[in-house]
Amino acid sequence: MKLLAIDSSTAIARLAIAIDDAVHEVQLDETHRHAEIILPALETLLQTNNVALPELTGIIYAAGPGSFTGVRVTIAVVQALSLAHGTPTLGLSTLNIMAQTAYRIHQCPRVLVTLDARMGEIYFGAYEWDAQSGIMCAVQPDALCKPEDITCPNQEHWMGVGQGRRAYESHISANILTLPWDDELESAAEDMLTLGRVKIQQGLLSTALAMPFYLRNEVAHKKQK
Amino acid sequence: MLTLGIETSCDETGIALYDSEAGLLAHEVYSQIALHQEYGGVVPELASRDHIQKTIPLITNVLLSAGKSLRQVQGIAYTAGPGLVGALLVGATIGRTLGWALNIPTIAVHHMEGHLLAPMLEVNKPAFPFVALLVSGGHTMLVKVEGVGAYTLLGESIDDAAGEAFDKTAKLLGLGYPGGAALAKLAEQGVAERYHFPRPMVNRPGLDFSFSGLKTFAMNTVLTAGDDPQTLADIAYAFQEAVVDTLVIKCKRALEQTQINRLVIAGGVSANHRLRHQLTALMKTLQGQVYYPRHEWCTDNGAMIAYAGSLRLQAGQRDDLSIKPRPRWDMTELVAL
Repeated sequence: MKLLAIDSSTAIARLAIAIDDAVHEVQLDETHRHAEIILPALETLLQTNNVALPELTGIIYAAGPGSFTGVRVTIAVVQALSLAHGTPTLGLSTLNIMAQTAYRIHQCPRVLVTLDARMGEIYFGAYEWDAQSGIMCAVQPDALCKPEDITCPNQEHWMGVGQGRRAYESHISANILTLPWDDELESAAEDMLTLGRVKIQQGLLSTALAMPFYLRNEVAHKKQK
Repeated sequence: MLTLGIETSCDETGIALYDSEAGLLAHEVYSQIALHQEYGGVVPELASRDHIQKTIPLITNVLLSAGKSLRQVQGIAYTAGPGLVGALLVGATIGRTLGWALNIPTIAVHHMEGHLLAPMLEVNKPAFPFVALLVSGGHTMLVKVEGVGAYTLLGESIDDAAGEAFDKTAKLLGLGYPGGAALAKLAEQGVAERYHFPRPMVNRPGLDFSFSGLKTFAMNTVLTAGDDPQTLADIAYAFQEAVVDTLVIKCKRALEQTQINRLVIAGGVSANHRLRHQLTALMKTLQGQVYYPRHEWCTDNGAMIAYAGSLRLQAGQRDDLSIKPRPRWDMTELVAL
């Protein structure tokens, strides 16, 4: 099985090729230049690993939430690749990917994920390790919420990851502030592939058009009637 | 050469297939007007969000109606600028990636070159050289065209574009957004001579335009004259006459200055009946010819991009792999073919 993973939803874009269990990952650490450098990087990655686009079993992509523009670069690339070769795709929540990375690094089975959504809000997800599938699964839908509305879904032991807590520390409730937290955690493409392989086994690869997952849908004020 | 054209520079998704032998095979435009209406103007983020939903389905539709498969496409042309950066990025990324994945050449097209060359899609097309008046919601410019890519900017608006002035004045008259066409319709009910609007910048040399003062003049007239239906129609009439007169005066001046007697009108405002009527009359007096693209190619569309891109691809021009939308892009930077 040959899989391609693409994530340009944050400042660091990530691309990876998985050939069966071997993962080859590159990071593009050039904020705001994702569109400029993504195709040359993809070409090099494919050539180095001797993979041609038509050989891909599927394309796994980070659908959001994250930078609107960054997410659309991924989506536009994935839509075009999929149209060109009929390659099926699988979209993942960026919060789910972070939770999977957190599990791999910290072995914590319950993770709150927070991203700074700006404008006084946080992208928030709560993920729990599922022993049967071996991946982190959402215990509630990802949400856009006020920092003060972040709570633990139950009484179990949780840890938190992501920069959302630090960005809004004064607004976050005391019981969340006392949780162990990894503010600097950056997700990795290998975790996209871990999630992707399981979801592909679950039959979730799709030929439907790849679509972004913004979470924030109010982006302008309607004029007064 | 079979070229796929992709246009996403503002609030229209336009896709077309142009064959250098057989001409335009199919084209489709999806307009986002309804989406932006309730915001009173184009919301860039919403425009980008809509393009990413529509571009690929439109490509599939256009291929289907042309009876062609993606494998038969030999080149891809996409609008890289000028326009809204996020909107441009969607079409540019899809276009460039599709070309790379299919191993066919792509070319970044200048949106205004697309408009300039749109009349060449018609059977009765202008010969070079000609003077082009580009009038849309985003641009008002006079360009001397000596060949594909051989453009000299003769003059442009120093503030609002003509179409923008139409839309903003329409808003003042309570005609909603975008109301340029509604204003022109209302002007048909207007009485001549009741109001007289200035003709900005016609008394000084040069070919630049300024339309923001007209909008202010319209606002002051509405404030003092009231807003009964006949008054609004009379204001619409006087406003349209002022814009059209100004454009006609500058076109005449440009034709005299360049010693050219062929005039091409392109861009969304070129669909305005009064403008067409007056410019036709002008060219009759000057014993020259005037050319307009058909209505569907006046507004943003993929056909003009496919056509302009096809010419450049056939001349051997190619993109590299970096996707670079150019929200500002001076047309005179283009390479002449």
